Amino acid sequence: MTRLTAAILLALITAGCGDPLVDADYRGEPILRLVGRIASLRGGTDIGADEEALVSMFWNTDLTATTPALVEQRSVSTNVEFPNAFEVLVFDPPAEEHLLTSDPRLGVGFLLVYVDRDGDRVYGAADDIIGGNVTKALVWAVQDLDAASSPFGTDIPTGFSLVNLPAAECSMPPPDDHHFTGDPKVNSCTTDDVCPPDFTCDATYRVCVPRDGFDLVIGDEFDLDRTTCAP
Amino acid sequence: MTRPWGLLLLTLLVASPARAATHVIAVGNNLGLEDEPALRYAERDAQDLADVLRRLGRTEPENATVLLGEGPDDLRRILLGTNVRLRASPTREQGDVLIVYYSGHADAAGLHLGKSVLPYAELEALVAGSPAKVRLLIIDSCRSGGITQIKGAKPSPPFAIRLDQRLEAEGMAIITSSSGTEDSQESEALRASFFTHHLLTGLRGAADLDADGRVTLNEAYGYAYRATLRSTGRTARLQHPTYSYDLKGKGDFTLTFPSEAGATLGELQISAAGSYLVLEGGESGAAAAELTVEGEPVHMLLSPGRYLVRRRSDTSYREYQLKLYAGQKVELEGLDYDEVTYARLLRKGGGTREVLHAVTVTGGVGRSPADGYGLNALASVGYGIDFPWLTFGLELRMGLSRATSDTISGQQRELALRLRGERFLDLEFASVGLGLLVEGNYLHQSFETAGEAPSRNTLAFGFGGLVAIERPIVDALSLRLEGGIVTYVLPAATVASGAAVSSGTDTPLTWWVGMGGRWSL
Repeated sequence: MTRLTAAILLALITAGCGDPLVDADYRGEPILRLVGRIASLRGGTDIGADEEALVSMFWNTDLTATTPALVEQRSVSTNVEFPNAFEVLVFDPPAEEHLLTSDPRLGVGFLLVYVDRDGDRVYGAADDIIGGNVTKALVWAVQDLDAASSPFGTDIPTGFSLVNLPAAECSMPPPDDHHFTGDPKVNSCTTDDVCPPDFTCDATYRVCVPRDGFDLVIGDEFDLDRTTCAP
Repeated sequence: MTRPWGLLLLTLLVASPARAATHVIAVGNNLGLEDEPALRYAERDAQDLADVLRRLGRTEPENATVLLGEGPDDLRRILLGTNVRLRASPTREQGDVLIVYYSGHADAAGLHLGKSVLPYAELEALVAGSPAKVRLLIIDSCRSGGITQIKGAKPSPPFAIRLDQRLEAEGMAIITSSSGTEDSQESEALRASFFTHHLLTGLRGAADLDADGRVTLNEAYGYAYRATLRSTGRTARLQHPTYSYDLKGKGDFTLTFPSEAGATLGELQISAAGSYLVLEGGESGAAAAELTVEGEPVHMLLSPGRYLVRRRSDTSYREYQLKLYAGQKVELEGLDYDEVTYARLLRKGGGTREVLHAVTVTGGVGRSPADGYGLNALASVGYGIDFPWLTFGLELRMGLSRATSDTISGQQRELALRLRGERFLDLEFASVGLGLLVEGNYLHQSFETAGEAPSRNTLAFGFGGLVAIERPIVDALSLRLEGGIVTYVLPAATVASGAAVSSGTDTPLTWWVGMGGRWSL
C-alpha cells in the first residue's frame, strides 16, 4: 500500500471516530422521561385553527392556595395530536422558582395541557390550561423527607418520585427553617420494590413511573383545583 | 581651396603619423568532433566579437575576418595571409595588433574545427610568429587553459599593471575562457557563452574602471574573469579564465575606445551597486549584457533601441524600460521602474531563488459544522512553500462557536490541521490563487446546564476548495484575503425533542472567510 493510500484511509477512518456532534437543539441528557396518552377532547374546549395545545410541566408552589400557583418548567413538549401518545423529556431538575414557597426542599409538579393562544410556546396570561393529569404528581425533593415533613404523609426520597392522588389527603406541614440546598439530583429507585403500587422503576432514569403511563384528560373532566391541598 | 590652406592641410596630413592597424581574425565553430554535441552560440560569439572590435576597437572593416564553420586549413590560410599583410603594413612600426579569437570545441591538445584538430602548438606558433607588435590570442572553449599550461602559466585572477607612461606594448598575450580541466559553458539566457558575453560587455565600456574612455587588455580580462566566475558559480560548474602574459615593455595596451563611439551608439550608465541584466527589446529579448556594479559606476555602449534592464536580488527585482538613441547618455537611476517581489518574482522567473518560504497568520469567521451554532471565530497560523508553479501550505487553525438557549449553553472548540495547494495568477493589482485543501479536525463540545450534558469529542475529516488574493504591502509583507468551502465527514447525532436519539455519519458543508498577512522569509 502506498503512503498516500494509507494516509487517505487513515483520514477516512478517523473521520468516524469520537462522540457524535450535536446541534444547537440539543438540551442535554434527559433526566426524566414521561410518556402517556392524550384522551379525546370532551366538550368545553376551545382551540382555534391556528392555535396549538401543548403539554408541559407545571409546579404548584403553594399547595394551600385555593387557586393553584402554577409555574411552568420549560421542558420540551410535544404537539398534541389526538389521540396519539406523548412523550415529555425533562432535562433539568426544577429550579428554586418551581419549589414550594413554604418549603423549598420540595416541589410538586403536574403534567398539564394548555392552549398556546399567543403562539410563543410559553405559558402565559393569554393562554388557557385545558387539561392534564391531576391524579399523579411528580415530586422533587432536594433531600430525603420523612412522612412528617411530607404533605402527602409518606416518606419522600431525594430526587424525583411520583405520588398517586396527591390531592386526596395532602396537607402542608407547619413552616420550618427550610432552605434550598440545590443538591444534585439523585434517582430514587433501582427496582420496582421501592415504587408505589401501579408504579414501576424506569431502568434508564431510575424514577418510579406509572405502569400504564400518564393519561392526560382534557375538557370537562379536568379539574385544576385538584392540584392543591386546599379543601 | 586656396593654395596656402591646401599646403597647410597637406603638411598636416604628411606630418601626422598613421595610426597602428588592428587586424582581427574571429573564428567560430558550432560543430566539433563526431562525439561532441553541437554548440549553439560559438559562431555567433565570433561574429559579435568582430563587430565590437570593428565599432570600438579601431579595426577597419577590411582588417576583420570572420570564419564560421571552417576547418584548420582555412584558418591557417587566413593567418598566413594576414601575416603577409602585416609584414607589408605601412603602420607596422606604429605597433600593429593581431587579435585571433576562437569559440568552439577544443581539448587540452588543440582546437576542434569540425572533425579536424588544430594543435595549440601550431596555433601559438602561427600567432607568435606574426609580425604584429602585439599579438593577442583569445580562446573560448573547454579546457582551453591547456594552452597556457604549455608555458607553465597557471589560472589566476588578474593583477594590476601600473604604468608610469603609456608606451606601446610588444609581445604576446593569451586569454582562455577556462582552465585546462574545466568546461566552458554556454548560457541559454544570455544566448552566448558566459566568457565571451562578459568579455564583450567589458569591451563595450563596463570594464572601463578608471573611466578614461578606454578599455585595456587588463581591464577587459579582469572584468571577464570576475563576471564569468560569478555567473558560472550559479551553475555549480565553476569556470576560471586564464591569462598568459608575455608582453615586453610597459605594456597594457588598449583593446577598445568607447569614448570614440561617436553618434553611432548610446551610453547607459549604472551607478547603484547590484546585479543587472540588460535585455534587448523586452522580457523575451536577447541578453545584451549581464553585469555587476560594485563600486564605481559602469558606462556601457549599446546599439540604439529599446531595452529592459532588470536589477536582481534574492527577494525582488526592479525593471526599467528605456529607449536608447544614438549619441544619447542615459542614467538608469533616473528612470521609473516596476518592482516585482518575492512570490511574484518566483513565479515570473528571473530571480535567484527557486523556492520561497513564508509564514501566514489569518483571522476570520465561518459556518460551524454543527447546525444552529453561531459563527465560528477562526484564527490560523501557517507555513507555506512557493514553487514557480504551485504554492503549498500547512496551517494550524483554531475555531470557537457558541449556541445558547434558555436552558443550556453550548461551546464548540475546533483544532484543525490543514494542507492546501494553490495556483496563483499574478495580476497587476494583486495575485489571485485557486486551490484545494484537506484537513483533519478535532472538535470539542462542552455545555453549561443545570441538567446533565457531558462533553463530546469528535474527530473529523474535511476537504474543499479555496480562493485567495494576495497583495504586497511593504517589503516581505503581503495582505492576504481568503475564503472557501469545506465539507466535513464526521459522526453526528440526530436530536429530537432536545435529546440525542441516534447517531450516524454526516457531511455538513461549511464556508469561511478570512484576512491576514503573509510574511516571506
